[in-house]
Amino acid sequence: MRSASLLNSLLLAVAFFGGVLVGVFGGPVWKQAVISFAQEQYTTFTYKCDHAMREHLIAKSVLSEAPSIEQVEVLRAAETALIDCNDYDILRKKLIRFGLDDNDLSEMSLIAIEERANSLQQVIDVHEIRY
Amino acid sequence: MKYATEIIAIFVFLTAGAAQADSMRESVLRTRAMETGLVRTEAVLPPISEPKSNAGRLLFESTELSLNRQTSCQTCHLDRFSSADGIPNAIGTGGDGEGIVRAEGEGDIVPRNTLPLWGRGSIGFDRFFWDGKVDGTIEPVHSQFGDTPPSNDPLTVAVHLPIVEIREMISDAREADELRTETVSSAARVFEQIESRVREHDGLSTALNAAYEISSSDISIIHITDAIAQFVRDRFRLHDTKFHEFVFEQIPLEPEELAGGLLFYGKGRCSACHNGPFFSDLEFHAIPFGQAGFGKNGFGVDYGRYNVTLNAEDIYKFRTPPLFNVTLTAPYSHSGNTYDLADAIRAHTDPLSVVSLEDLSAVGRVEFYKRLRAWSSDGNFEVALDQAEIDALAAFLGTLEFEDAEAPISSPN
Repeated sequence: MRSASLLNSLLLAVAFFGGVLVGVFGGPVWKQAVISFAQEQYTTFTYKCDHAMREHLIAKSVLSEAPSIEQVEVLRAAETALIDCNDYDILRKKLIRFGLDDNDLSEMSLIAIEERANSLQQVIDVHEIRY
Repeated sequence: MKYATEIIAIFVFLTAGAAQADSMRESVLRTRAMETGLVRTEAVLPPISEPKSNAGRLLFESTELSLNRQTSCQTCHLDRFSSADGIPNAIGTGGDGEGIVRAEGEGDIVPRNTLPLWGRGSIGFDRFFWDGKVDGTIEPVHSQFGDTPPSNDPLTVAVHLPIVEIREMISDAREADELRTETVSSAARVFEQIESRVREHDGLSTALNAAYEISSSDISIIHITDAIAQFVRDRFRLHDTKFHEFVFEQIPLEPEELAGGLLFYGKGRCSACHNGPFFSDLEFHAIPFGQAGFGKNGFGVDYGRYNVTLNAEDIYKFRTPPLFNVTLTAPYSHSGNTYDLADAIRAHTDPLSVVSLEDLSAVGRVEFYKRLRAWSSDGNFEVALDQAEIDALAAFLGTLEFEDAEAPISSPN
């Protein structure tokens, strides 16, 4: 009878501390797991969207400088390519639904743009203001 | 029950965004396809005369049209290879067998990849051969016949040429020496012999007599070539594909096909050249494919369109190939240097990844650099595609197949 009571107390304590542990560390662990799972895809989509936006900007400026039917088609293709940014937006929405907040997404973006920064020059390339 | 409702609600919540995005993508793809000239194939089908097409079929299959009675049109345009021949460079006279067997034999090499015949002679399909040497966009039809083309129909003019092409349907032997001038008069001498044979051939002459309501003595090369053109138009007419059904009947594509279609009309910029009813602008562009074989200009060189125009700006340019049944008509490029559709796609945007420069001679490398220069002057190829995107493009190209109801059931080797 006494040993059963001890066991119950022990289970209660384990459950309590387990709950505390999950409460304290569960959120960060869950977020880290989501980030680890999605980072590669997020990096790819970030790059593709960035690329699509730059191509679109260039296509628009070329069209305004030298209008032609061919360049209109290039611009339309560049507009269609912006669907890559829709992929990026959808992934962000999914990640928010899975519990990530703006800070987590900012961290993922930083990881994406710093991914290849193995030297100071690459860090400069990422952060240098160009115009 | 309560939990089931909640689970369904969560599922709907999570998937609603994706479904909305798919619908937007489908709509964008349909719009882009129509913007760049896709129409139902029935809109480009030419009128066909059945008796002429029937006579043309007999002529297409007949070796009487080659001087040494060895080759017919069908020798290189086989049903089992979706109207091409399945080998890098065509093998004309002296060849034996089909496919790889023919390539490994002793026949005369015609230094270009055989083009499939799908859609040839459809309304608006007016430029023929890799270098566009027959061009119906100009009047009179531009061809090796100069100011006096044998017909106003460019396909009929095009049908005249293989018959008088040395190594294609005329043996590369001493008895053909007098034809090497490749002039209109030497071609006329070949045509006279062919006319004479056909007049004396019971099956061929009877079919032509019925189709054109003429007597055998009146049969001329124009009847022969016109009948073959009618047959090509009829037998190799286009049919709507899965992609047409997607665009015009709202039948969905697989996710990878949809992604590939958006790449085709978007980031990949494929539709800048592969557009219109035939997925080809029928214009000339330089893609730095490796060269398989000796080449039209010799020693691994084929200057393409330049051989027709002698304009230096046309060096290494070839007519954009149409894409109907492209997945069935390997190998690819003007010299058929790759059987892999993914490599063919890659060569458009990342040629250095598919050509091994160390295998080339110094001269070969210089010629490859020339191809690169011609290619790089066209901004449409400044595209980065990863493997998943190339796979998606290949999946999309698979939607441009259609069932060839007349083809016998067999599988290519």
